[in-house]
Amino acid sequence: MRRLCPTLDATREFARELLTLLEPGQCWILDGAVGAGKTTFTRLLLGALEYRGLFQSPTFTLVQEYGPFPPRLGLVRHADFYRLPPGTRAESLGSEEWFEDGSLIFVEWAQRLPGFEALATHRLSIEPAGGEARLFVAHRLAP
Amino acid sequence: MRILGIESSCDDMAAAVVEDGRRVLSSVISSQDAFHQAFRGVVPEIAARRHLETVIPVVEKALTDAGVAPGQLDGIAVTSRPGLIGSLLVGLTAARSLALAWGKPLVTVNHLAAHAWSLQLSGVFDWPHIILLVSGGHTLLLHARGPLDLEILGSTLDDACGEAFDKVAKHLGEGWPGGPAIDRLAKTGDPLAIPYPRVMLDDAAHRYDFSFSGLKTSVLYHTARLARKSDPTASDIAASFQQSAIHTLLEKTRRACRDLGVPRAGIVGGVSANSLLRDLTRGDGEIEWALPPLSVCTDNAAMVAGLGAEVFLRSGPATPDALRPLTRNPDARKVV
Repeated sequence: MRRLCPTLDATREFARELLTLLEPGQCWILDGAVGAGKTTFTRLLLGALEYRGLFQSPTFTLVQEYGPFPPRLGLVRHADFYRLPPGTRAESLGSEEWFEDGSLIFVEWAQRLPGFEALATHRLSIEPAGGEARLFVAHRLAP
Repeated sequence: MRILGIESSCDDMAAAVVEDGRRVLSSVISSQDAFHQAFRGVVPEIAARRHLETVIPVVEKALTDAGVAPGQLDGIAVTSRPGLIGSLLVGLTAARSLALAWGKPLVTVNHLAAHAWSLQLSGVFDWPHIILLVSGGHTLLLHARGPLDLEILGSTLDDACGEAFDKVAKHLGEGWPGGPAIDRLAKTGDPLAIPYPRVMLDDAAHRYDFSFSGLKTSVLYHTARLARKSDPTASDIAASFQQSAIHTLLEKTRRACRDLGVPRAGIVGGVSANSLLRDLTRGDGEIEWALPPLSVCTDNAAMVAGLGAEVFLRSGPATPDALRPLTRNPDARKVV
C-alpha cells in the first residue's frame, strides 16, 4: 500500500484507513528519519481509535501503553529505541513480554534492537514530501 | 500532621518526612542515573529491579534523618499514578505493607499533582495559578485552582521538552541526561547564532499545546543552513536551541496567564532547573513566577508527603480501588 498525503488532514484520513488493517499481535516498524512524523502518525492512529487521553512520547520510557480498545484491539504499545546503544539485548528491556498479551505494537528505530526487529510483522515507511506532505508505504514482512 | 512520603514512579526511589504539608524534616533520593546512563535514558525493567533493592533502606534513612520513629507518623502517602507500572508497584506495595505493619492510614497521590505541590514547599504560593510542568517525560500546562484541582490546558503533541534536550545533547556528543550539559555549553555560546524555529501552534485547538519535534529536527539536520556564523560551535548550537525551547515554554505560559487573567505562574519538573529559564523569570513585572528550590525540581518524595497531608484532610484514607498503579493520568482534561 502506497499513499501520498498532501496535508495533515489527509494523513489523519490515512490513519483511519490503516486502522481497518490492524490486528492484535501485529508488530509494525515505523520507518523514517528524525522528524518524518512517526510519533505524529501514532498519535493520529490513536485518535482514529477514539483514544481521548493524554498522548506521551515513548522516548523517555522506551514504551507507552494505550487501551485496551475493545472489541477489535487489546493494548496498543508505542515503542522508541532511538536512544539505545548498539548491541542492547532485547531481554534487558523485558520486551519479550510485549508479544505475549496480543498487543498491537508500533516501534520506532527498531533497527537498534535487531532481536526485536526480527519479530516485526509489518513495515510502514514515512517520507517527508515537502511541508506537511508525507509519502506512506506499508507492507507485510515475510514471516 | 506528620506524613511519610514514598515516590518511585520512574527511576528515582525517594522517601521523605514532611510536617503539615510544608515543613520538610527529611528528603532522601536514591538516583539510578548510573544504571541507565548506558541506555541514555530510563529502562523500565532495570528501574523496577533497582527499586526493590533500595525501597526499604531509603525509607529507613528518611525516618532516621528526620529523627522520627514510625509510631510518630500520622500517615503514609505514596505515588500511584502516572508512571512506569513496575516502578509504581514497588513503592505502592512497600507503602501498603508499612501502613499495615505500623497501623497507619495510607493515601495515594498523583505524581503530576505532587510536582505542582513542590511550589508549596517553601511557603504558600496562592491559587489560582498557571503551572508549567516540564521534565523528560512530561510537558504540560496546567491551570491550578487548588492543590487537587488541576485542569490540563495543554500538552506536547510529539516530543517532551526534556527529551529534545536529551537528543540535542546526544547530537553534540554529550552524556545523559542532556539538560545540565546543554545548560553548561550554552553559557559560552551565542543564543542568536542560529534562528531555530519556535513552534507556537496558534490555532484554537492547540493554543496551549507544545511541539518540540520540529525544533529537534532543525538542530539535528539543518544546523548550519541559516546560521549567522559560518561554523557555529557546539556551544552556539546549545545556546540557540536552549533560547528557542525556553522562550517557547515561557511564551505559552504567559499566554495562559493572560487568557485566564491569572498573574501567577509556577514552573516545576526537571527542566525548571535550567538557568536561562530561571534568569528570564526573575524580575518580571507582569507575572509573579515561582520556581521550586533545585532540590525539589526533579522527582522527590517531599512533594508527595506534602500533598499527602492535603489528601488526608480533604478526602481521607485511600479506598482499595485507589491502590492500583496507573501508567497514565486517567483524564486528558484534568489531573486526577
